[in-house]
Amino acid sequence: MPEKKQPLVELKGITKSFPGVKALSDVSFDIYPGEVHALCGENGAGKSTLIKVMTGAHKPDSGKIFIDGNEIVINSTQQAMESGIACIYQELSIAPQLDVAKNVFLGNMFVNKAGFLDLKKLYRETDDILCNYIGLKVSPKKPAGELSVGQQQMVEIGRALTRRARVIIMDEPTSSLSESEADTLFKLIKMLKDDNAAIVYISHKLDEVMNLADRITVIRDGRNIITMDTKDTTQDELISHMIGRTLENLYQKVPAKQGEKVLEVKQLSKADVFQNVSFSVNKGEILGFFGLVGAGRSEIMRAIFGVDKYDAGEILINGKKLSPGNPACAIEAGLGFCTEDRKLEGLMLRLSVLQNMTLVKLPAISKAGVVNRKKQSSLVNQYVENISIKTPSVHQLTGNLSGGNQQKVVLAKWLMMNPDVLIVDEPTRGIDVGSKSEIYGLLGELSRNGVAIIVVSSEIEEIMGICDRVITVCEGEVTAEMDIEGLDCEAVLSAALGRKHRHNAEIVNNTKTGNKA
Amino acid sequence: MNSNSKETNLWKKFLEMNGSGVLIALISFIILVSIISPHITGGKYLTWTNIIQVFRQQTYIGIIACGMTFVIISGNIDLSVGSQLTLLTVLCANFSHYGNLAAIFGTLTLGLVLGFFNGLFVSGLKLNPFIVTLGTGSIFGALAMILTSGFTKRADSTLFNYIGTGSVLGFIPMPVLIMLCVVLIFAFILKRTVFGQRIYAIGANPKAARYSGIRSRAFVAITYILSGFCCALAAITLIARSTSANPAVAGGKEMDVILSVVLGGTSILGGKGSIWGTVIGFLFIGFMSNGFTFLNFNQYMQWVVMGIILVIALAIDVYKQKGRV
Amino acid sequence: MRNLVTDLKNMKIGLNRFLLSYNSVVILLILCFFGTFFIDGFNNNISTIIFDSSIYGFMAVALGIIMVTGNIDLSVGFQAAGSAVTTVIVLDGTGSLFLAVVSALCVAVLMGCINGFTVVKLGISPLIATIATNYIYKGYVYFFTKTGAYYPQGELRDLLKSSFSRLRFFDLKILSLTIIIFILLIVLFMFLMRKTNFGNAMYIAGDNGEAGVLSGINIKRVSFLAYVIGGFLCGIAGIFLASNSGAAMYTQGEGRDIFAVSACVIGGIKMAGGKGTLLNILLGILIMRVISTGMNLMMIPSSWVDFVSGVLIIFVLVIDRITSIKKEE
Repeated sequence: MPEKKQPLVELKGITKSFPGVKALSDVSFDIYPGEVHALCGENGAGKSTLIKVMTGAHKPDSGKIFIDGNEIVINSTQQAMESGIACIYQELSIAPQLDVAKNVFLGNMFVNKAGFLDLKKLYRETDDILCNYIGLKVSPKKPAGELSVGQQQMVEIGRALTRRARVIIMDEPTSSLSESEADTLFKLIKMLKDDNAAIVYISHKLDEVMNLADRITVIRDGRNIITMDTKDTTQDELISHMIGRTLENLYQKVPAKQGEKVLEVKQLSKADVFQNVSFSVNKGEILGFFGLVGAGRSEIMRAIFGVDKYDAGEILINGKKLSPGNPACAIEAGLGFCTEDRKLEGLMLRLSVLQNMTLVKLPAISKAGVVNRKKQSSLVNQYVENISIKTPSVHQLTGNLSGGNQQKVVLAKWLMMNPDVLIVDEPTRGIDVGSKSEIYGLLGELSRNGVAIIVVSSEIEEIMGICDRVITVCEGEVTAEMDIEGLDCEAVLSAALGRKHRHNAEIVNNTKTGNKA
Repeated sequence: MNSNSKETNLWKKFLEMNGSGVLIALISFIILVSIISPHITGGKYLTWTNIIQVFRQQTYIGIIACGMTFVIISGNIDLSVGSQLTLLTVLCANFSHYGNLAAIFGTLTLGLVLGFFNGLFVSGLKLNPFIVTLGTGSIFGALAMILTSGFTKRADSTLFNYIGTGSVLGFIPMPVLIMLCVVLIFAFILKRTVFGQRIYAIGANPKAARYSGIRSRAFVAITYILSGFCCALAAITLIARSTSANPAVAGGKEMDVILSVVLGGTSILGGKGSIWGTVIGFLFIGFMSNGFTFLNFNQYMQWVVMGIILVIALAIDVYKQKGRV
Repeated sequence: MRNLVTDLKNMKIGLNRFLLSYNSVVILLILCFFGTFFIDGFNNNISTIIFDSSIYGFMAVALGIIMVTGNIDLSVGFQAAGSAVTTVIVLDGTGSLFLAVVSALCVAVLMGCINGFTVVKLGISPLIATIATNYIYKGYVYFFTKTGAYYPQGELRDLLKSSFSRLRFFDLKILSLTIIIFILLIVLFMFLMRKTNFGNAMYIAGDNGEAGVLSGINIKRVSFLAYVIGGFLCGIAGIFLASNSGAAMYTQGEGRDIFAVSACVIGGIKMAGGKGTLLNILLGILIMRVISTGMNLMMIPSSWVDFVSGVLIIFVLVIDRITSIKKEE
């Protein structure tokens, strides 16, 4: 057990607001040398903001940061680095065309007395670090872009090591790693721990957290909930801390009448991504798709919509086969897809609300290719009013709207085409509670109007609150399919956690069929 | 403050418009030259003949810039327009010996073909638009040289005389009328049609455009074909004006065209811009060089001054965008 | 080059992949083979090819260095011409060759700084920014040359002519000062790019500047300095150009950037940056010069050279595309 004299890094009373959202309020967090401290919470709970405060990417509105007991102000990422804090971000920062060694020592190259690069030492040291510490068997001269994602992550960890980082923050490090790669990572973490480094570990995979962490801090809605020793707690307790509040206010579910089958997916497979995915959705039904980040949920949806190709399987909409790999066909068949990443895939931030909203609908409100502007603006105004999008004018650039309103613009874009099936991927990521409940209300109303909705989410409460049925996905496979009624969160979570818990899910499955009978 | 707020709002809106800064610069420049020119050269600057002269000079740049606006808004670039123009004027001169219809339709068709090649490389094979159009430009320019062996080719057609020297209502020259038609039609296509709106979407966020079911590749190819078509039109007006095709006529003109477009507030990153801005852009360049000439300014010092003004205008544009999002 | 040797030694790569990876070497070898056996007088002109490659190569190397950092410079031609003009004016005015050379280099470096300032500090897209600055340099050059040339008076012209380009050792064309300086600079910059922190940072700037910033590298300064180096190299090119023809001419700038871009692209420098070595650029330059000299010797009109280089650019891009698709698979 590490001696707990003085924390390496201590954050006290950190508060940070963004326009419209209070991301962190009065959060405290500390890390001691030689420990793994896990940071748990749902998406949007404030974890990444907290990390960014630690690495100098965000400046807190108030609160203090101590390193070795001395108060400091972290102004830049470079300063954080010099203080011994390194972060391995979810999106990797690898220079793909440079070789492995140069990536490991990025910005930290060996220079000999004459001022030239000491390449011999570079490759020797890299070899040493890769072999002796990380256990990565690649040539230091290979371009980093040719490594697997997992190997690239190892390179980043190597970079943190060469910086003599005393605190290493790992943000979802295993989300894109294979099982064996993850095992190597865990060994490495244990070794770092023995070397008296401190590790902040962030992961959705709770079994990993339970195995690795010495202490766990749960944050929710930007507040400290609890910090506890891992040995004194259980996974179930952890989950209940993470979910926390009662949700009646946020989710007001009015059941919709279900009709016939609209979308049917049969044995959909894509090598290394997802296998044998089959399910169907009925008119007026809200189907939840639950799984951890990287489980393959979004990939399945992308394949259905035709953005990605798939290897085998069949997709039927209203009984008609959908030709693969063509979003335009999918839209024609009545499929709408509200993507996971608003800014990257959903919106044109530099275009106006009006332009964004009518993008899909354009052919329908035009004659011989000429847009009927009256129809366009009346339609847009109608939707802006109906789903209460707060914008000074329909000509406002979407980049200037708040996250919630942006999301509503994306939704409106798809609603305008009157879809038969609407897929919404993480519909409430990063938006405030008010907009959240409005979006839930909207989805409920849609389902009552007979639209089949698929909600992809990694927020369990969202699934429990608005869906009729849930399908859990783990490592590209459907692990369970359950009716929401009478189900508890733990069953869904453990099904999504995967194979180890498979039997659990099957039990639930059995009881479900039993109930029906 | 409150009483002023409406005015400041209007002012703000004006400033946010594409090319507003350049428009202000253009107007101030014209006023300045009008005031000082009588003192320097004794001539009156702002006369109808002179204004028409600027429009005439900028006809072919203007026409090509309209096509280029589409290409740039969709997030690409076409560096081959200068050579396309050269090649097409040469071809047009050749065709003119077979009659008016052959000349006009032949040139337009070949313009579409040249554009199609660019579109094929950029959108079909997904090659880097900058380098590929530099390459095709090199090829088109070389073809023009090869076809003429470097000599000027005379065109032969009475229709061209009419297009070149005729005028409508007695005071609008034909080439200017053609340019105005192109401007209006292209502005209409860009702002009012499904195609135009989707060009913006592709340039602003190609990924999101794909997720919205837009067939980006076909659309991008069409912008290049339009650009080729514009070059053909410009070639016809150019031949009509000078009745001959000089294979060195359009070297480096793509720079003028691109600058016209970008000066008008069209973002080189795509997704933002307008034909109206482009009009301001090419008028700005036209009035500047005309004004400097009027003041007996050394033609080459004009370039230096223009370069400096361009850098300032572009820097202001960058600054405006940074302030916004 | 070392990679090539080790690859060959290990014989790990198939012929196919070899062709794709070292396409510029292969193209050059084929061209030389063809030239040697099918073109009369090709072998006698090898020294001319090398001489021309050096004198125009400075600009291509300047552009290549800028492209490695992920930017572009379409004004290299008129930066060189600007330096040539400065050389001639100052020589004409003062009669001092030393002053002429120093001021030419200063002007060229200043032009590089202006480019760096507009692109890096003002944040204007490099393509547009250098088109705009090119107007300035072009105006400067034409102001003196008009549409012809600017000659220094009488003896000074002879002095200029005999001082740089035509200066030879042992009366061998292959040992002319141009070629020697070019090779020295290539070696120097090759060393700089491979062996120094700064060179390494240039590659990072082009490859993933964001990662570089996160690792505490001053990416902006690196990109700026690349433009300054580019200006310096163009300055040297300008001095040799002026000396070679004993005058400053607008043709020394016109169309040179196309040559430079072609040489870089054919040599394998990527538009996106982060890749390519000076050796690549050198190969690109040689390929371009071999083609134009060869075609010249075959009495093919010079416009065909543009045609072939255009085709070659597209060909190289297509091959590049195929390799990247194959790699993805």
